[in-house]
Amino acid sequence: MINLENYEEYMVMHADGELSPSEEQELMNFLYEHPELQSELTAFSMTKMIPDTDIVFEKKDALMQPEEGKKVITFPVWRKYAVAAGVAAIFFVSYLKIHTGSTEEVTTVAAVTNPPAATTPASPVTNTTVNPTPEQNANNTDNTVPATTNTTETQAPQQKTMLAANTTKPDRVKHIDQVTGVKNMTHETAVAANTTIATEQINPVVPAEMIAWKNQENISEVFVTNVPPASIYMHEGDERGTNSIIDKLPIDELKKKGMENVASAVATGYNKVHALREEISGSAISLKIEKRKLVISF
Amino acid sequence: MDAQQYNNCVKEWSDALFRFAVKCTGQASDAHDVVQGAFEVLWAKRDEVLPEKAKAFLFQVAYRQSVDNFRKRSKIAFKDAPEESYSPANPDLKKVLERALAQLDERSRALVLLKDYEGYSYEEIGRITDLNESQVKVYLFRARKTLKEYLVSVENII
Repeated sequence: MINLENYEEYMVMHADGELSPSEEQELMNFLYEHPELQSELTAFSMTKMIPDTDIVFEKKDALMQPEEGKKVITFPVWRKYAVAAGVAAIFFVSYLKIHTGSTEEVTTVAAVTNPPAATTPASPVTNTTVNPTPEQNANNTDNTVPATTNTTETQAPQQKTMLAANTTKPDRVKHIDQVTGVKNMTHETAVAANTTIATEQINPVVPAEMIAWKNQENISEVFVTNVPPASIYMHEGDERGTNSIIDKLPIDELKKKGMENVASAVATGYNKVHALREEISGSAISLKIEKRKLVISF
Repeated sequence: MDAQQYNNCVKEWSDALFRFAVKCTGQASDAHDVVQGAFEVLWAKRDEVLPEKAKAFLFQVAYRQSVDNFRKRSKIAFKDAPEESYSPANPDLKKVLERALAQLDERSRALVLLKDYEGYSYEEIGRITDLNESQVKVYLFRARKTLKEYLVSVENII
C-alpha cells in the first residue's frame, strides 16, 4: 500500500522498472491523489544514467583467442624479416630485369641502326650524280643505259647489302630517339651514312668519267666531309673507351663491347669498300655491289 | 564455452564492460586492467561458464575488481575531479549526472551502473554483487535519492 511514508521507494522502483503492473497502477492512483509529488517522480526518473557509447575498448584483438578450425600461422621474428627481405628481393630483381630488358632492346636497335636505312638521300649528292654535264652524258650513253637499268633492278637488294643486313626502318630510328639518350649518336650516324649510301644507290654503276668528275666536283667533298664511320662508332684516335659515344651510353660494359664489335665490323667493311672505290675512281672501271656480288663494269 | 564463443563475448561485451569499469574506477587505465583481468578469468574458466551466463560472469569479476581492488583509488580520483563538468551556463544533464554519480560510494555507483547501463534486474544485480535482492533495493534506493537531491539542488541553481 503506497502512502506518504513509502512513496519514494515506489518511485525509485518505478524509475528502475521494477514495479509490477498492479503496483504501477497503484502508484498512478497515489499521484492522482497527490499531484504535488509528480515532480518528485520526474526527478527520480532523471537519475537514470545514460550509457556513454563513445567509450569503447580498443584492444579487443589482444583479448581474442585462436579458434579451432582456423589456422593461425605465426612466424618467429627472424622469419618475418626473412619473408620481408625475400619480397623486397623479388621486387628488386623484377625492377632490374625490366630495366635491363629495356636497355637491351635499345642497345640491339642501336647496333642494328648504325648503318641506317637509306630513306632520304642527301640532296647535294643526288643532284650532283643525277645531273652530270652534257659532255658526260654524251660520253656515257652506252654505259649509262645499262647502268640505269641495273639501278632499277638492283636498287632494293643493293640497299639491303649496303645496310649490312639492316632491317631497321626510319620510324624505328625515330623510336630510339624518343626512348634513349643514344638519340644523337644514332641519328647522326644515320645521316652520315645516308649520305654515303645515297651515292651508292643512285650510281650503282659509275662510269669512270663520271667518277673523275665527281672527284673534281663536290662529290669528292661528300666523301671527304663524310665522317668516317669508325670515328662515329669508336673514336680510334682516342684511347678506346675514354671519349667514345658508346662509352657514354648508360649500359653495362658487356653490351658496350658488343656494340663496339658490331660498329667496328661495319666500319671496317665500309672502309674497305671506300678504299677500293678510291682506287678505281681514276680508272675506267665502274663498281657496283649487288646483293652479295661485286659487279664491275668496264 | 569454446574459443569462438569466448571471442564472441569479447566482441559483444568488452565495450560495455569497459564503460562500466571506467565509471566504477574513474580511471581508463584501471578500467583496462579490469576488463583484461575479467576476460582472462573467463578464458581460464571457460569450461565452467555457459555462454548465456558469460556476461553476468564478466560483470561479476569486473565488479569485484573495480569495487574491491580500486576502491581507494577511485575514491581519490573522483574526489579530486574538478567541478568543471557542470556550470549554470552549461546545464548538460549528462555531465550533471556524472558529477552526481561521483557523490556515491563505489558499491552504490556500481549498482546504479549495472541497473542503468546494463538493465539488470535487482535479482540479477544481487547475483553479480553477491547481495540479496533486498540489499540491492536498499542500496539503489539510497543512491537514487542522493542523485535526485543533487539534481534538484542543481535545478534550484538553474
